[in-house]
Amino acid sequence: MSLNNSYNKTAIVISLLLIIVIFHFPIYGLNKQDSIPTEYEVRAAFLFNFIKFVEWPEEVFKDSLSPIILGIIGHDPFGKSIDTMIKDRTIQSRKIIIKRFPGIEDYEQCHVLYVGFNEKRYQVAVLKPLEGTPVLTVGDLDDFIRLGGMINFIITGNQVGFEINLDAVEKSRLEISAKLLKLARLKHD
Amino acid sequence: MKKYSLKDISIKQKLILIILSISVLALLLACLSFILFDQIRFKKKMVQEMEIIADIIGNNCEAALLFSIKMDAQETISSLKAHKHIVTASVYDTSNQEFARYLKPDLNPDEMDQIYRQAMQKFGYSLPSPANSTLLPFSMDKKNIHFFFQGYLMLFHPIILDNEKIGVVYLQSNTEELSQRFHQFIQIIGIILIGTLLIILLLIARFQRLISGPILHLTQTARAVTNKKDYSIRAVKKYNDEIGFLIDNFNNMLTLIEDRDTALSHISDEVQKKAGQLKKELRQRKRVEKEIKGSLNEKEILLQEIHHRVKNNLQIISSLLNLQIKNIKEESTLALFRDCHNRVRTMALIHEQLYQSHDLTKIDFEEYTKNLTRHLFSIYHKTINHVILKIVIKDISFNIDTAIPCGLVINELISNSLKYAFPENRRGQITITLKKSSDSKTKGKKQGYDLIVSDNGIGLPNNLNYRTVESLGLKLVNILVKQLNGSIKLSRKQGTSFKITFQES
Repeated sequence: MSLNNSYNKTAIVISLLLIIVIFHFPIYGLNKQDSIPTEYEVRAAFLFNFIKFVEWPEEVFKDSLSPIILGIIGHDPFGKSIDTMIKDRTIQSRKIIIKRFPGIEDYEQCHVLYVGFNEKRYQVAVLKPLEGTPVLTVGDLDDFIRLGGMINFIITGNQVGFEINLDAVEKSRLEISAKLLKLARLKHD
Repeated sequence: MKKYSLKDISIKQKLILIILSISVLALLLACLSFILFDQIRFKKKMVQEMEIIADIIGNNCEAALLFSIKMDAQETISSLKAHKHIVTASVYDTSNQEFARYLKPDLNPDEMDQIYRQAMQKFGYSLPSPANSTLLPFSMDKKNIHFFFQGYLMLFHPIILDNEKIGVVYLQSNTEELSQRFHQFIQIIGIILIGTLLIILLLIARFQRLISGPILHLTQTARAVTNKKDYSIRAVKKYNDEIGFLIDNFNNMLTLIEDRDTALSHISDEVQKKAGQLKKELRQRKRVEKEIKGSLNEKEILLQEIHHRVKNNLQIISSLLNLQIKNIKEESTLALFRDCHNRVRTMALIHEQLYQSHDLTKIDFEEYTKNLTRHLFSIYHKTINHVILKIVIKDISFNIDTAIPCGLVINELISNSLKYAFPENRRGQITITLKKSSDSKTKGKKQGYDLIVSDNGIGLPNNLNYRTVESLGLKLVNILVKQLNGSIKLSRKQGTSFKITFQES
């Protein structure tokens, strides 16, 4: 045995690092609940939870098991974390499918549309045609409600909160549960 | 001191006691099972009610939990203050951390905490350390858990949304209602029990007469019969039940006793009458017996007298002959006289023995033979040294009709033996044997006897036929044997032996 052999030392260090890397991620994943979630993890969870309190008109789904499509337009701030979160979970027996639209031209029919804080440029273009349609629009922008968006994230103190545009919701024939409304700052456009 | 046992109380009391105790037992059992059933049902109802409340709270906290808005959950949970019995309530989030908490005002939080801890310990849940006492002590699945502990109902209810458990509602409610209900029931049952017992007592008082009345009547009748010794008293039968049969049998028994008494008194009268008659008869008989005894005595005395006189007369004849003998010189004449003298003496001896004995009809032949032979031996001057006499007679007595011929036969034969069998002081033995014959062919019912007179002397001359001999002695023997209805046999084997077989006349 020769510990002086530098090749061997390097091998050991790499192995240790590999072990740490391999075991770090599952441990991190398992302990996700215990660790403090990032701001976007909270937003992702909120986004998912909003869906639980919203009811779409029946005709927007093919059948009772058709998935709910969550569209993210432009930049995706959640990354893989939202995919992990929704994996194998259902809401009202429906699966959630995430569709990412890099540009406005890529937009397809969906049930929930998230407009990230970087997508100010799409606001009007996105919201105008969706006015009065049963698509739940969620944004992270200052003017989102004023421009006809339905739910907008806000920061109150150090907590993530949200506001809801009751007029827009009413026009869209979507129904938002009173439980959710109770927690939101209510707005009119 | 007399010990009173339950078994000794009257039938009436026994009936009351039995019916009462059975009724009380039945009522108590029914009431207790009712209470038990009610308590179980009420507990179930309480749990159901708590579940509904927990479900409503959970439902209203769904959004608050999902969006981590504690204020809202707190508001929701605080609405429980309207509920009288809920003392504490908590909402836990997905990580089992306490999210909101409600404690009924004016309750000591430490005390409630202690009760909670004790309950958790009792039901086997590891408690979080005091530092994080806000942690749920166990991880729940999608089912409710509830305990009853120290007057509290503790319920854990999971909050489920879209098949996911998003939190837990904990409710702790006091079970005052349960114990109130229990006490109310006990009171009601107490009242029912007392009321029922009163009704039962009234009914018993009325109906026990059906059973104890006839028995009491029978007892009184039996007592009256015993005290008055009057068997004509009868018990009155009311109903056709077992006691009715008993009364019938009792009356029948009394009738039987009465009949028997009458019969007995008749018999006793007759017996007394008969006893009088018998006494009279007995007196008469005793008198007659006395008379007969008297006359018998007279006759016995008379008979004794006769024997005495006969003996005396014979004695006189004997003495006369003896006097005559003394004057006779010629030997042959002397012998004749001596024989005569001996024969008279033989008969006199019988009469002598008869009047001396108790029994005037029987002669003890052993004694007689001894007396007779002693006389003969003295007459013929033979001493006991020359000729030995052996007499084998045991317990044989004869009446006079047999004794006289028999005695004369012995006299003749012994005289002959003494005279002729032992000449010139020859030594020898004479044997007289008299025994009851064992011959089964003995005619009739009369007892037969064998008389054997033998000597071992020189024997009879060979040419002498004892049946045709001229000698008066042997002639007499033959005649006497005939008179005895017997037979005689001679054996000449050793000396002379005569065997005479005869029956007592």
